[in-house]
Amino acid sequence: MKALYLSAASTLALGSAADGQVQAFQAPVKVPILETPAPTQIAHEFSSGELLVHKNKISAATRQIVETWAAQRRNDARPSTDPDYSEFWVEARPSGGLATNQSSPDDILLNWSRKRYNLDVTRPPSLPSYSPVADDSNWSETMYHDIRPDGWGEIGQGLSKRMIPEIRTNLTEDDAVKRVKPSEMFQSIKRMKSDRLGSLPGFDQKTALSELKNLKSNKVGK
Amino acid sequence: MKPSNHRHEMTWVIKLTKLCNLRCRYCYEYKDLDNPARMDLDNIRNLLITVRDICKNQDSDPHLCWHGGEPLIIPLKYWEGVFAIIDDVFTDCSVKISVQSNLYSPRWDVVELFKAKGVKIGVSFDVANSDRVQKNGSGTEDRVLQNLDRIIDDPVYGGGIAVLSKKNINQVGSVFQFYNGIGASVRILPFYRKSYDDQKDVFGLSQSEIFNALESVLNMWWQNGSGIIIEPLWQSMRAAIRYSKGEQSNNIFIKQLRENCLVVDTNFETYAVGTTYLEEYSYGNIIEDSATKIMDSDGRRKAISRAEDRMSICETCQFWGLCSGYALAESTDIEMPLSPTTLNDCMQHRLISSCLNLLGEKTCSLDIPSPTLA
Repeated sequence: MKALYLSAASTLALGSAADGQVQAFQAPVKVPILETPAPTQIAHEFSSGELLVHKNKISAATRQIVETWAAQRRNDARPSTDPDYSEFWVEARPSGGLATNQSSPDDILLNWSRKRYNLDVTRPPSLPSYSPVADDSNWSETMYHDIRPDGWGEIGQGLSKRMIPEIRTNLTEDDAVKRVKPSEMFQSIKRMKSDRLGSLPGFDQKTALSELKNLKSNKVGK
Repeated sequence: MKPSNHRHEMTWVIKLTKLCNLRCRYCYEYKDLDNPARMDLDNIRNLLITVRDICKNQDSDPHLCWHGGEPLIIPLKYWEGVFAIIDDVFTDCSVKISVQSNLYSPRWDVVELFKAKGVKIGVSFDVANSDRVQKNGSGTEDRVLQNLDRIIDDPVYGGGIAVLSKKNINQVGSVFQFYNGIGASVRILPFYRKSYDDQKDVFGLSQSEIFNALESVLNMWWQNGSGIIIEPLWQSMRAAIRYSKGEQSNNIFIKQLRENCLVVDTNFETYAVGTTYLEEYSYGNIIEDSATKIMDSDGRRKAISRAEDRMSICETCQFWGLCSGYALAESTDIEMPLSPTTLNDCMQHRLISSCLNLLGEKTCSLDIPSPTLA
């Protein structure tokens, strides 16, 4: 049985907030602190697949919870350097239960975690560990975190050297790439007899295939 | 990891003029390249005021991408006027500015102004393409290369765009080789919009042709990359890395909430990227209509619905959130004639899968559901 995953989709438009800006919140879920409406109603909306991200199909009851959270967030005066905690998500489980990364409105203020945990409608879930994750909607700011050599081991080191300009300054002489003037590079390419893959200067198809084979076997390294 | 404090960036592709000094045969503006009409400065002010208001409502910073035609044949005085308006209108937010040029015969005084203003010039250069021609049909490469030599090491150079079409796809290796050799990042852009009926037949590519070409470049990049960034492969690789590490992300393109990029035609009609120049999808006239009217327009509603239909398969994709779905949502009818029905129809999904193969990731399979919840 294939699970129904709604996590990334479950975002709601709440209309215009007081400041005229549209606020986006992912749907909250099973909130012992907020006693109404009944969690089962929310559960139904998710598990039945009625809540479609883009369609904004959502009951007044669920909206009430979302707006409560939204109001809490708007009133929060934490410094702007804090993580953007406007994102939280919920997932419908095959069993009909729900999962989220937030356990209550308070936790939005306290936690920023992508950890998933199950929700029990009778007991609050355990708090997630604090593990802030930067929003990556603007990837140019955050991409370097993803493939820092110290964060990705051997593969990352190889990848970083090849793909990240900022890390080129750390290259050894052997790794350094000589930049060629555009006009010279173009003339060099024009002089090639054939312009097919595998016959390009500097591109040894045999070596490349061998390396790819190694990579697929997780035997990365020079 | 340090939390990010950045704001969302909303790109505005602004067609200052369609007039161009070249006649590239695959250009989607081909029919209008001799049209001298140009946005006048008063209207640009009104345009930018609405841009500012929309960005403010969407909690975004504007990225103004001046487009054409060829923007660098427009005189210095005009550009000075444009920058004066920008300074006047955007007083309380940061503005990123770029220009897309063929760099065939740029006005160097304008380039100097761009340098002073921190503008990036993206240069369209396909490396292997005999269809980038002058009005008389003669080639343009030598002169463009000469000019590229002149700015390649200057911060004003913002990277390249190389169009891939049926006529040069077999030479995609040269495209990689060139940009890799000069150490310049590049966006490889498969032919995606037409100006006249036959254009698609002559230049259009199938999904499999595009995928095979991009996958070839990916392998070359992995094998011999010199540190350049190649789009759209970089986005795919990035998503693959994060997926391999078991990361979760909610970076989803939800058009109704936040636009990523809009296109303003020379007549100020405004469109989404995937539906540019399609009348029924027009958001309205940005100098005549208010920001609210533009964003509440029927055309926008239709464009949102279209984007949602295209993203309908994303819910079944294990990469969703790491991949925003934007490329799929805003694909043109040439890139994607019908809404995709399986993940195999999604170029980004296939490319991320290829990246995972390179990374040695074994768990990526179309048949494997999303990672089990902890």
